[in-house]
Amino acid sequence: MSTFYLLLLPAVGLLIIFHYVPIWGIAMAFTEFSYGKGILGSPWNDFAHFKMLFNDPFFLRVFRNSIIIRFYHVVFGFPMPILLALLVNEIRNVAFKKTFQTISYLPHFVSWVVLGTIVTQFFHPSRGIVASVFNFLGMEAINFLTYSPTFRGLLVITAIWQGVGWSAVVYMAALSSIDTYLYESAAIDGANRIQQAIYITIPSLVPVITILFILNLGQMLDAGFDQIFNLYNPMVYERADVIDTYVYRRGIMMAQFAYSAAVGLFKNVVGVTLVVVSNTIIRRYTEYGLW
Amino acid sequence: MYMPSRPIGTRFFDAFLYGMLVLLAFLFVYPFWTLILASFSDALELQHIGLKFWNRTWTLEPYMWVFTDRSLVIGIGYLNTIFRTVVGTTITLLVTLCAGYSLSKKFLPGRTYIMVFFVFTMFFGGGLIPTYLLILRLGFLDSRWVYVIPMAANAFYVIIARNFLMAVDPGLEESALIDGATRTTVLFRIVAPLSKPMLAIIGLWTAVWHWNAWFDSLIYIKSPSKRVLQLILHKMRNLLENYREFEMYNLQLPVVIPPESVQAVIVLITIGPIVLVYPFAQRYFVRGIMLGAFR
Repeated sequence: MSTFYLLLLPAVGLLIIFHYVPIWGIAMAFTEFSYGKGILGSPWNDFAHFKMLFNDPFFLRVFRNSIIIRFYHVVFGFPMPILLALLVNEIRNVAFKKTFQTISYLPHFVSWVVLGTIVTQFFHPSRGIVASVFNFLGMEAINFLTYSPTFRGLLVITAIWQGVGWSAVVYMAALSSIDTYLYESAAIDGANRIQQAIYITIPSLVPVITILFILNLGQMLDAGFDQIFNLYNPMVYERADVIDTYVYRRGIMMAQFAYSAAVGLFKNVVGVTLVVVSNTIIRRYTEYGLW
Repeated sequence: MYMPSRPIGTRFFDAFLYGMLVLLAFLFVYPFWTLILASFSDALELQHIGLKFWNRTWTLEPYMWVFTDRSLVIGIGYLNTIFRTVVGTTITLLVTLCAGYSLSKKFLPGRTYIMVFFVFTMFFGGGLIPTYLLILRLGFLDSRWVYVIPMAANAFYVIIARNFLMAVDPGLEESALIDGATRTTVLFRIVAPLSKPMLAIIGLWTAVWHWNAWFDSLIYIKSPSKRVLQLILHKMRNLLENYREFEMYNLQLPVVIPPESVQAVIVLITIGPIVLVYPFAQRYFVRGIMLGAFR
């Protein structure tokens, strides 16, 4: 029997050290932390960092930006893979379908460092393809990478481009499990393809959509660190600086550990709370849920 | 071709559908194609902007420059990336298989509590700063081990392994145990070979994650010789606006070779292995999504 515990030891040990010890480390957010003294040696500061949080104009800015960007991702990005899956599902030619899906996965397997390079070249104000469109229309090209008013749109569009193909996979699987008998009987009753989609296909996606939507809510303050970090610059901080990038700059670049840990804790707690609350609500009204 | 069963509305719908998807496929691929064109371009060729499908002139200069003049920076970055991918994936697979195997045994006392221990880590963590300070204290700063050790255990993978192994027929194990084999022998000689599909899924996920990772290299690694390829690319990102990073690497570009071309070459060699492998491995990734999504 002890062999089993021995086999568990590496995984449990690694998670204790690299996951549970940092959770203990959050305690630094409640202290006047100094690296030399450690958490227990640093004096308790009576929630000073959390009081500071709501008077910090930069925190309020990144909090607002995170929520707004996430909101755009949900409103514009969440339905896209569903639409794509519905479209691809209508394809009868198997080879075409397989090829299309393989192509649509491509950007998902590439890091945002690479995609950031591609996006930057694409939108480059004098050499990018977007610039050539402006030139063609006889207009001065805008540098979208430093143009604050449209930057959130750029984030949402490039994120959809990157993720839509791969995100559609889950929906495709749900679609392929629908009994074809349903379609046949609907066709006999005279339903056309659009009607079949509305009355058979979409209702059968509801469980998957619900579950993914709850998971999505848990990331309410997750605006997409990798993407933003590889695309943003001080010119667009006003609209694109988010909690995670702020924690990185204040915590690691400026070494204000305790305050940044407080910001991170705030984000974590909001995320967990949202998942629990939304799951409870959805459980109450439907039969679907995470647990 | 005349097909009586398809009314005109259906054919119109099909034309719209296929047209739409071809356009989408183009949008997914075209940015990558422009990179290939740019990697074979000199400064003059890059003057031709717009929707471009083919170069007027082709040059190998950017490739020659990356592979010969400064092959050291790129080459070492590549080796670091390969190191973390191979070693990191191996460690994760070992840790995951062992833990998943133990947790798959229903008779293991305390199994439920250990599961809670694992699942909890999927929903709550310490965040960036406490993790960063811990790694500093453990002395991982500027060590390549920081790439492969801290993230080696992943609760999600352990649970996938557990679910897979719970479905494996226990009869095979029992007969080997009766023949006198130890548990560890059974695990590595009998269970592991049976788990190949599951190990392939977890291994591929981990490998892609390692290949694309860069943030740990940015915050924990100080020596340029220990950076991974992705980070080198990240550092070169700004070079269209300024040449600072290029100078840091002592990279003096000849006039004929534009920075965009060099960037394109580095991007292509960075994503090359992934682009070559994923079309063949995608069924494992898809199957993995199903394992994760519908537990």
